[in-house]
Amino acid sequence: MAYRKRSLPRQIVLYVCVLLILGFVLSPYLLGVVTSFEREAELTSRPPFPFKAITPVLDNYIYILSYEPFSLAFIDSALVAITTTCFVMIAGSMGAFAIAHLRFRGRNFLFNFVVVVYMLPALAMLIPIVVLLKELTLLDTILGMVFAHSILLLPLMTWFLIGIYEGVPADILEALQMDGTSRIRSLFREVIPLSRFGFFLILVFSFVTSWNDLMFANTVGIVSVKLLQPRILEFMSGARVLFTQMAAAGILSSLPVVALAIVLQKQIIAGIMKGAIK
Amino acid sequence: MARLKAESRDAAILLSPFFVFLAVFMIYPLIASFYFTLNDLALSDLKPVFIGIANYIELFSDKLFQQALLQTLAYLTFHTAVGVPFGLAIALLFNEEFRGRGFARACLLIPWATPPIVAAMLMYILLNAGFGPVIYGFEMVGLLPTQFTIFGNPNLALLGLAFVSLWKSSPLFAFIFLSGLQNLPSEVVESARVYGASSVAIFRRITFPFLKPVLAVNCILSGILALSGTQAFDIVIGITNGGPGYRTYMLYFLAWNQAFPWNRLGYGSTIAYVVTIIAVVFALVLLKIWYRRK
Amino acid sequence: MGTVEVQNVTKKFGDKLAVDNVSFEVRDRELMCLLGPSGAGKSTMLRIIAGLEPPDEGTIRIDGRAVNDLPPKDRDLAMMFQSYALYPNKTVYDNLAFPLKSFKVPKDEIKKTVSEVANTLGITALLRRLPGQLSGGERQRVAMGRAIVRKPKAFLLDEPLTNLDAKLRVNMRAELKRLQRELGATTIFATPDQLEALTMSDRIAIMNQGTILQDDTPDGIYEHPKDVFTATFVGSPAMNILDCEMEQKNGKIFVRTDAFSLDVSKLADLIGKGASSSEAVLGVRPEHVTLTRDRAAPDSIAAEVYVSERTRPEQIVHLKVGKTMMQAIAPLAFQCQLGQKIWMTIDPARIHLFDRRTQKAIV
Repeated sequence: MAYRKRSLPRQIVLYVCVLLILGFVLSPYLLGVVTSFEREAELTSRPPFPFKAITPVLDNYIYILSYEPFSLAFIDSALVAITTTCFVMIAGSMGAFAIAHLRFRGRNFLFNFVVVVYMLPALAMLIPIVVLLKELTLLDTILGMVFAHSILLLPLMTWFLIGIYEGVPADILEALQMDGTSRIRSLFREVIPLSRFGFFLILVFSFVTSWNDLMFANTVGIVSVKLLQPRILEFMSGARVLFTQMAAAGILSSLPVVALAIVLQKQIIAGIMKGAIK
Repeated sequence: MARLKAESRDAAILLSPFFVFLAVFMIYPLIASFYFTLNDLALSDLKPVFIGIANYIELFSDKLFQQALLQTLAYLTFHTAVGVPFGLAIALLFNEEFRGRGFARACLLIPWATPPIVAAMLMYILLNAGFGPVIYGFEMVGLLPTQFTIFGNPNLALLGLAFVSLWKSSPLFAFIFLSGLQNLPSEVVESARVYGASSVAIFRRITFPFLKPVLAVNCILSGILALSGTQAFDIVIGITNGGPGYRTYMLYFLAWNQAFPWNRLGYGSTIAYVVTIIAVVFALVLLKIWYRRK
Repeated sequence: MGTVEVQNVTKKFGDKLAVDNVSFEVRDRELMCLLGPSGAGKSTMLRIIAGLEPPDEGTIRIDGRAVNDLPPKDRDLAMMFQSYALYPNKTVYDNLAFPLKSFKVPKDEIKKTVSEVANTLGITALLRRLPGQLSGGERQRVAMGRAIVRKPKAFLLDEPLTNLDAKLRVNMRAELKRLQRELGATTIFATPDQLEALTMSDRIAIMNQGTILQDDTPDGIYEHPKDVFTATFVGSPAMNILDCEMEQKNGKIFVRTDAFSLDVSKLADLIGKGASSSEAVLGVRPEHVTLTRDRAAPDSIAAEVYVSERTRPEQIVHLKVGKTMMQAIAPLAFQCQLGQKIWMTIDPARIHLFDRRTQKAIV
């Protein structure tokens, strides 16, 4: 591939296509950013943005950042996402490692069970979870939210992790056995660093799923616990927030997850490079 | 013999938090959700009233269910038949060498990472009849009549949502295809070029067959996302909330709607299970097709 | 250092019998080799001794003490894996230090031991590198170092030289033997390479299909193989094997192949003891077959040269004898060409006879 000289017309076509696709992928954000710097009056008056010049203002961001429901929701979402991710990664790792490498009765059954649970759509799980949380009076609490998200994520994450841990060569694990670490310590001290690339991928996936979730957050959290995405939904259906302010809120809400995605992509490229050299 | 026991004991310690959580919070929902389909249950009083398969029977005669079913199938078809090939096209394009390729590839993950609600919002602004540039641009050029609206139009609203879904999913498909393409050994393609094969031929004979498993994965993923993923729910509730006039109602949305705003947990569960069945059938059909072609 | 005893160990994987009632003993400071083709059960046996696999039956004793219930780390053994299994994200120093760290050895002692071992193996310059940056030979030495560092009761080496290129292998054979002697280390190693086994071991246990066929010194295995498999597996070029019949004629005993007859009356009483039928297998090593231009003795046998491999310092001559092929070793100076008719002489004192049915040695 590297040595093919492309004729000029083909080059142009290639770059045009790439730009079109990038435009497609990025346009909502680009417009969103522009909108978040617009004044409401300018937004609602036709013609819309690209066809007229606008003067950027920071008002929207100032409003949103000082709007308590929003910042509270932001913090709560972060709390839930981080806690859920920690729990799922630790518990999931332990289960996945055991399933991947230890031999015990019921191993195959457990593995299949994990896959089956994952097949069920979130909503079907949500209904019983909500009922249970209500019984435990954990509805509308942070703890309940963390539990709910954990249940959502644990099967899939464990399944992924099993794949990751199976990739660790068995003889290294045996060398660890010979060299004296107990199984559990070897998991955390050695195996995870060995598979840190896949581990990180799943960690990001876990965080992003929790942060982005709407359905569970909207159902489990009603009054006291309002997470970020339900708040944004509220903005969109209510009339208290202007579109330009909504845009600012949207951009701010996406920042953590988009940033993580970009970091992840960089890791992936770095990982491929390392693999290629080896 | 004791060694085997030691290993089992190790495994038990390792698994115990997992087990406990699993038992309480996963087996329970699995069984309970099915149990609920046989009951009438409201969140407010939590007393299930056993009604057998009445929910299922009601489902079959429910006009809204039938409409939602059709709309869901249409959505699913569009999402897969358009989204996956589009993703493939993007992947092939991004597989070529060009300046800024790393940046372009990094951008592919952005739609996936974006919270669906925010995606819905941003797309709404983009495609908005009132102040969105896209429609305005078309109107200016004369391609579209004034007062044109996508999401307000009963016939176009679903398509509009499908488009939003496409934005969210295709780059993810592209990303997965790209990962698959990395595994294609470049010597195979290079030797084909040396033999004088054209790009089209290379694609048909080498690349495409190689990607078949990845294609299957993406199609199944597309099915799951369209039926029960965030594309099915978040986007709907964010932009049209089922409207205008039930034209964007899909099964998953209907299920949630029945369960929570309408407080009929049993009925909602029933619909959710129907969605599961469709997803499984979809996956099986797909796998059958691929495995027969082999 | 210590002794290792394996008593009646059996291990099955599903239906497959990997190790079948194996027993042997390794004395203190001995280098014992488990020799056999792939799938013979040698690696499995090593892993059972190490504690990585539990045996279905049998006992493992180290220094007389049964260790069946002990996990690998408590058995005071060190194992070197065929793939070396170095920890890829630790430096060479950390790889060597790791076993000591796990056993809570104080830091300065670790430092001392690691530098000693690194010195002995000549890898001190590599201490800061990662395994991915090392060559095959360097990695092998680090793997050895990691095993040595613990000063265990015994070493288990699983095909330690297999992954090295030919030249390095020859060097390392000698190095390994030297190291073992210097450390006085009880060692059990597994290999499919008979040359390694012959040159390095104090004792060889030759295994095939899960059982030990012969447990003896290298000389014993080479000169007195107990069955056809052992006879052909050990020794390069391999022993010549021909089906034959034993007959008695005029008070003399002959061994008759389809190409020639050999008078083996000198071995009469040995044959009498071992033989159960007249159907047998004749074995003779190529170095015991002498080639001459002309008929040298009354019982010389006519043969035709098929091809000669001049291995320098000698040559291996492939011969057509009647309908069978045989090999003989001759000095380089011996002139022979394709198709040439020459004579070969077999010394009856140097032949091996095996019962055709049981494949076991008679003489």
